[in-house]
Amino acid sequence: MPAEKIKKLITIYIPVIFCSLTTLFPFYWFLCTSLKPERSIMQLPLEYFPSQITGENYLKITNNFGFSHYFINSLIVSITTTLLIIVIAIMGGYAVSRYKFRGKKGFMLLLLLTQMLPGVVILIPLFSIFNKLGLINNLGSLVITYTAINLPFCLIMMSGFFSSLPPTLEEAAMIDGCSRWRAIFTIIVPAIMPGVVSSGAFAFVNAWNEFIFSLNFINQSSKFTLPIGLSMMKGEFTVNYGGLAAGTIISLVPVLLIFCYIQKYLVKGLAAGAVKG
Amino acid sequence: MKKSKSINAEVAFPYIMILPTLSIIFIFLLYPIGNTFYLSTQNHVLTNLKDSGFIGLENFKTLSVDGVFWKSAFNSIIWTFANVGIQVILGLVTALLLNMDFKGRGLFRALMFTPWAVGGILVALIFGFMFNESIGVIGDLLMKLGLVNQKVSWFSSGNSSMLAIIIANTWRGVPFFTVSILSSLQTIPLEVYESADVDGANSWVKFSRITMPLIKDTLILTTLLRTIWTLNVVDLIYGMTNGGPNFSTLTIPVYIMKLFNESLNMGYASAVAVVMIIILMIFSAAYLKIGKYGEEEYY
Repeated sequence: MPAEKIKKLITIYIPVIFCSLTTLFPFYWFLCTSLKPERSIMQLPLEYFPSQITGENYLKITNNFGFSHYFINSLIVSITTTLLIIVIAIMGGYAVSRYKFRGKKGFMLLLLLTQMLPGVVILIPLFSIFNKLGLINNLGSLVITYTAINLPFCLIMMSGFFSSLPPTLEEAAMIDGCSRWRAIFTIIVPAIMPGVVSSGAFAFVNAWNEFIFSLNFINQSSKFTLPIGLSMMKGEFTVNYGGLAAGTIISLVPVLLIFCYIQKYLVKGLAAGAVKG
Repeated sequence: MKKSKSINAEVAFPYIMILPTLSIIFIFLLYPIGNTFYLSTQNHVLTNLKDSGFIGLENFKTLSVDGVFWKSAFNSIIWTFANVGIQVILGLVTALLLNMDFKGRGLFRALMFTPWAVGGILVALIFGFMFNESIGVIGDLLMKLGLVNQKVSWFSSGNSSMLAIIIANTWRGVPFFTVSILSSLQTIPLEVYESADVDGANSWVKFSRITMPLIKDTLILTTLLRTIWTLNVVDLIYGMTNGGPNFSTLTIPVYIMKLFNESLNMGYASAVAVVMIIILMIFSAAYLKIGKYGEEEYY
């Protein structure tokens, strides 16, 4: 029995612990840094466990006029994008899941191909479009762009959830005199709430993290989103790593929370959509 | 009469439902791609608009002798293959590990996936700090382990900068492979392994003769998809090295962005973007062909 245990320790637990440490260390290190007073961050030898814990970096960053703006801008953009995507993906996902129609194959292929597209190749024309529409330095340009790039995946994911429900559900409601639109939004959508939440969360996380379009479409600091704001802070006060670390930790919290919740659905969505299992 | 009207409505219904999606894709994704092709044949420099106009393939001629472009193409190859190669191996190992039965597996799985949620620019900030020459923890750890005997100035040489950005991207990219491979591993019925045990197969035989053939398709598709996405990375490289020092970490998409931002030469930047679209189309065609997309009935 002990031999078996030793074998399990070597083949499973030691690799598991090693993997966890390398995965978690960068988070730990930035969290540590954010809790250290500025002078001990710059001090050698490095402190692997902070000898003195302080909340001053968090206080400083949340009182910083810019940072709270970036946070609110990111929230506005991400929430609006998420709501738009949810409504449009419900419509499209329902059609794809329940109907056979001409051009469906082409439509699905189009959705898949857009997954391969790097943002940077459409950056210049999009910039011109938004410039003509007067949407440069307007969060609207970000909402539109993020909706366009995340919609295809969310639609594919949503259609998978619709397909897991029998069509008899809305048919019964329609026999009772309910219109199809009403049947979809009052009966089907509540039944696939996990799907709605996880596609929405996927869109939220991507919008929250996006950098390239935000960097190019917004150059007025009061309109910056978090990724831009944080990367600008690095140049602004190169020595204030404590503040930067605190800002990064704060902006990580929402996505990590969401991510923990949706990861099991994301695996399903990946298997159904982008990566065929 | 009334009946045929309702049939029409029924036929039109799915089209009405996909109309918003189609419009968004056409206006904000497809039209811009077409426009990029158009712009690539134009002389269009924002700082000198009076000389704008059609110049045919002139931008592509310039590109063919542009040393920075070729350097970025070469860097893109190194960046993409190193990242994907390392990530697929680590992803396979962690997926096999997670597929085993042990206490705390659920927690471990949740932990292993977290880097995936971290945005590229935040990865750049975190790893940029960890690779810092004077107070960076990575150099410090390497010294403690006796692997180097003095501080490493990661971002002053091309090779070590490339290594640093590959390490950062690998940290973030492994979970994607782990998730995909794990979901494929879980479709293999346990009985297959049990009957192999009866025949006295050892672990290596089981892995190479049962596991690998059964997850091969997923592995190939995941790798291709990831190759495309890795080639497309901009934020992480931009945030960590901005293509430097001396263009040694500049990849094609980062070059496009810098051309647009710094020289405001929209025509030339579009020509580089067109080359990138063509390369991606080749990879995407391979992906769709191998995945047999478009050949099956959807649902």
